[in-house]
Amino acid sequence: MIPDADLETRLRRVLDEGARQLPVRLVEWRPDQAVKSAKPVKPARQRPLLPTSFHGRMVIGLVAAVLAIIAAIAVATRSPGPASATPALPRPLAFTTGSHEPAAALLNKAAAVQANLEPEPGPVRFARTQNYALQTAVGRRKSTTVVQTVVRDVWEAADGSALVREYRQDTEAAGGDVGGPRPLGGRDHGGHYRPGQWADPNAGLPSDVAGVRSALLNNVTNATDFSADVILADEISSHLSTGTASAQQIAAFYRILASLPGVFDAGVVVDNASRTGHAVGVMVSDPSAGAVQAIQYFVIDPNTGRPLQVERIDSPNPPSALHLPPGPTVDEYELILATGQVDRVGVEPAP
Amino acid sequence: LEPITGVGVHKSVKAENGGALQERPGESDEGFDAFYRREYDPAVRLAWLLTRSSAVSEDLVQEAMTAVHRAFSSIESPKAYLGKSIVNRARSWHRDEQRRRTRLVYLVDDRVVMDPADADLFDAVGRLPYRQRAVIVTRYWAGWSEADIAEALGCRPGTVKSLASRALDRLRKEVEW
Repeated sequence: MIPDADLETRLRRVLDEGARQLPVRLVEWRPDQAVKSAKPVKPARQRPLLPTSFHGRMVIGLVAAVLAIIAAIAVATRSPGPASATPALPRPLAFTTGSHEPAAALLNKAAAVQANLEPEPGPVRFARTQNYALQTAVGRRKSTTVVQTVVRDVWEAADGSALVREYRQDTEAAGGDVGGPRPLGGRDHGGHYRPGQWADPNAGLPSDVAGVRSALLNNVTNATDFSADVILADEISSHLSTGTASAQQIAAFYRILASLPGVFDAGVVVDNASRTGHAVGVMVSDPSAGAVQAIQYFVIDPNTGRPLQVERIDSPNPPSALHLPPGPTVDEYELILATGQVDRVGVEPAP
Repeated sequence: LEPITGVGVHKSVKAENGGALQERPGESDEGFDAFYRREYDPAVRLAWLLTRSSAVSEDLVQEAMTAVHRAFSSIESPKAYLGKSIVNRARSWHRDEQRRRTRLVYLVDDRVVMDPADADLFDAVGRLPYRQRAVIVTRYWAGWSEADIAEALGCRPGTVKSLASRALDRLRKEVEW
């Protein structure tokens, strides 16, 4: 697999070379454009709010009466349920805000459970995850926000080859166009991967705390605008959410999280797969950077130490470009639905 | 959710290699004409990397320059304004272009001559979804900081990181295939 640094160097060279080959001829600045753009904008003509003529008032009255009748019919016949236009966005889980000590205790306990697990038999690692994310296309006049949910099954063999199957379901923010989950086609959405082609972030990652910490910080090149704590929390969320981390790696992730002073207890929650877990949270943005803060939550099964859900919330409101209703908004979540070792590719572990 | 303070501080960054959004000494003091003459060439190249059409790039840059001209006296960094304006106009163009391409076979991109392996990578960048492509071009060609890219794309710096990571994964798959 090409290392990031090599790929980035090649990218710089190739983009430089491509851009260099473009013959650019200076087009003189067109003064007509300048005059047009510099021309002061005339104030809009003041128009009366309501027409002053008798005919105009009659039309307004008629339109108002028709609208009132339509509104009355709509109220009388409206029924709750899936046909209503309530946005189909998931609500953030019912997290609370607590102190650091119980969060660190939970993480250290879960780490101890994971670290003491016996290795599972079977040469193939299986993980089923479900990812939910907001995707948005922002145009000049209109933006479209789409809710995208992808269920992904991954089988990773010991030689590094992998089989990936993905199923996607898109829903408009207004709740329309809900198609059944459909397999994703194409090279970028699953299929068989030869050894080295499937980029699992946990493959080759150490499993001791110092090694994991160092590797995670080295992973993030060019991210000098974040503190180490933010990078670690963000990276751990990515690594945990794949579902492919070993028990030892999970233990190291938990111990690193427990050491971050910003990690706080977020209480008992029921995740999006109806499983009860205990959550910890950490802010992964700069409180002074802007109006939107991102908080990362990790939902953990306190008995087994298994990660259940990783959720990122925009608070107190979503970014304005998304044009979503105000309030804390789920930016992304990943459910780790099933993980385990199996005998061969394509086989799911016993429930 | 209650606000939480004291964690996760990130600092503003400088662009990596003298990036396109960095102010040059005296930039804000110069006239628009000099600014136009100096920035036209890199602006067209940036627009071209984002659209891969020289005709479209020239139009986009003219539009963006008009917007800069309109605001020239009131903006702190015309260069940053120009860059963001180009990224946003290219995004709108992509949106319309995708609609057109569903109906028409229309591919008259400007071609470049490169070593086949490099050409594969260059073409793969051109096939990336717009936001991923914009992140790759502005980060690795123009040298913008993550904060600048996030502002231009209207997203959080964390999203820029994840877009870059997804784009690199995808490019890696393409070139290793």
